[in-house]
Amino acid sequence: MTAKNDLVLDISDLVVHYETMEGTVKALNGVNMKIEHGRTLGLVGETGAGKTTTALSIMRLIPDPPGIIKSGKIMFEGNDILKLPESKIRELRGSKISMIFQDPMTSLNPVITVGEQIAEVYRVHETISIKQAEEKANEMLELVGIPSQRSCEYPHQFSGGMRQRVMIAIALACNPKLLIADEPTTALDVTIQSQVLDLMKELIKKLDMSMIMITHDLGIVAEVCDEVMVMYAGRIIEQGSVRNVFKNTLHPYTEGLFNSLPSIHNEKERLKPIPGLMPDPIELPLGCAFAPRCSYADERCNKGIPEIRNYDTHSVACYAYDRPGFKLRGRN
Amino acid sequence: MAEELIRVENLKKHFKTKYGLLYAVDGIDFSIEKGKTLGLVGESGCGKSTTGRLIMRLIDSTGGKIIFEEQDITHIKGNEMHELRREIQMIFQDPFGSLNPRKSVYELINEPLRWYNVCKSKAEEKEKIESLMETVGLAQRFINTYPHELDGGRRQRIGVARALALDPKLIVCDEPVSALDVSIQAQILNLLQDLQQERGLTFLFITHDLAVVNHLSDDVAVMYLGKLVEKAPVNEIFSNPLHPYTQALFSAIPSIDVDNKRERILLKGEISSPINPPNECRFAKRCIYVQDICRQKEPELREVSPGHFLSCAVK
Repeated sequence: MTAKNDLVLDISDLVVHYETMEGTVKALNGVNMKIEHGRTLGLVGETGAGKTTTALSIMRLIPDPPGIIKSGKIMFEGNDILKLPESKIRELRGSKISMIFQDPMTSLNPVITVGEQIAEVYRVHETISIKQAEEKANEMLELVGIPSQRSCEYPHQFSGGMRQRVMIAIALACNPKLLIADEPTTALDVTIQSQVLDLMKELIKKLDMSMIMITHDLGIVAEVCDEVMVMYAGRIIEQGSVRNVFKNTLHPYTEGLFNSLPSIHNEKERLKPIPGLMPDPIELPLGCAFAPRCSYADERCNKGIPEIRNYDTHSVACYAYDRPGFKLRGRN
Repeated sequence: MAEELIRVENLKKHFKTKYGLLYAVDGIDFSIEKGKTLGLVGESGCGKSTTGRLIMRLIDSTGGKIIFEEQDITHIKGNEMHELRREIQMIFQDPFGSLNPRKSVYELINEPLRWYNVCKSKAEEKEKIESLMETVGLAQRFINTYPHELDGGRRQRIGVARALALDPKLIVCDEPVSALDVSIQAQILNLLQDLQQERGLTFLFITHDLAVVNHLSDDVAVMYLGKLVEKAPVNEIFSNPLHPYTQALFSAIPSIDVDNKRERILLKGEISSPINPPNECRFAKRCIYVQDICRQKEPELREVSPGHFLSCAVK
């Protein structure tokens, strides 16, 4: 473990619920997460696992109502983000912590030029003249690989990949300490995706930032991240370095994810999908949320919720490792 | 030799736009044998969905021929068209947008059956729908639910059931799993594979996901800006991709192999406009091997080794 002052973000026991007509959606049920300076963390999981809710909590953007942060702490630069007044949060957003969203079309304003949208970040967060802001915006555009002559164009004149570059320019304008990227390349084609990922990797290094990369694509995690956390039903169920989690998978769910992937190397083999569906977050099972779909589960798994703890190379939340000599069956 | 089910010859679709003619599909040839799967791969805007819709006869072609079971179906109309639709069905990408939200699962699956008067009585209809639900792995308790009550995977199963209802010979699958989570995606892929084996179905599988193509297809055709750039049996194309675009496309897929980092070919720029393309290789602008000859005329698709077709002047 590294010294505490190296931590950029420290989330402990975060619980977030959404109160709806149908009942309480238990989106996050005690999430712990630490990110060290200069590291990239991959947050993986399927739809509804709580990845985006985690990101929105860090930005304090959980819609309220219906969202309620029940408990927990999000420490950033010595302050608990959850306790800061709204005015302080507004200072943080976009300057110290930024976010890139999945869909670059809906996150850009269609009636404002891209140059102005980048300059806006400087005008909000820095005391700076309009002229200077424009100049800085042009520099940012060049940095993300767009000729600055295009700063007076509108988002619809850009392709998807270019728009995502504009989003990156906006997010990185004020040199944030932490960048949250929520499925930044899901809407892009693979050849464009690899361009954008390369750009992000390069800029993270250049600007010395930390990043949370939210994705459902394990391939992207392997390419971009240092560490990975696997989420399931609002909890982190496995966590460790990318190498350890990928090579020495511990949680049955993570194993199931890998087995579901068609690979470009071993074709024709029948896929082994995880049976069933993720539980309804309104009615979570009493025990381990994955137990109903887990082929290793026994009675104990249906009774209690396993804590995440160290085992072998990294951390896992699974009771099965209390059984002597337990091992997963391995991947195909 | 297996029998050929469908063949397209020099198929073209041009759209008129404000700025000129858009060459969405510009002279492609391929055929699919009975019981086989052709994977049609390419990026957004390359014309793969347009090809699917041409084969479905949802839009009319500008030129070329579509031959289905040795019959030219390029221009058939009316009754013949109605009968043809029994034979060719489609599974769509978006299980949210392709199902009428005001119809229950029963009504949705019944739609094609009713359209073709398949069932003689209410009882037979119910029996048929229940058996279709069983085939696609939908529990009977969902029979009266509406699409919004179901998750994406189950909705896509309804889509599959609808496509199967009339016992078609060919199913055009347009990105059927790209909106689904991986674990659900695997369930649907397995289902499609089982159905193909049991019923001898033929698939045209349109997708941008190369891993999925590799998993399901017998043959693979790669499209770029309305043209086929390479076509080969699946093992051949994955082990020996020849076209510079195919190579770049394959190398761009993020790999989960943490030990074996492949060298990636980063393409410069983006797909150029399909409106009035110049008479040169359409990939020339992004190609790393580009030479003068590439800019002089469009290369033809030719057979470089048995079954392996390539359209590149350099390689």
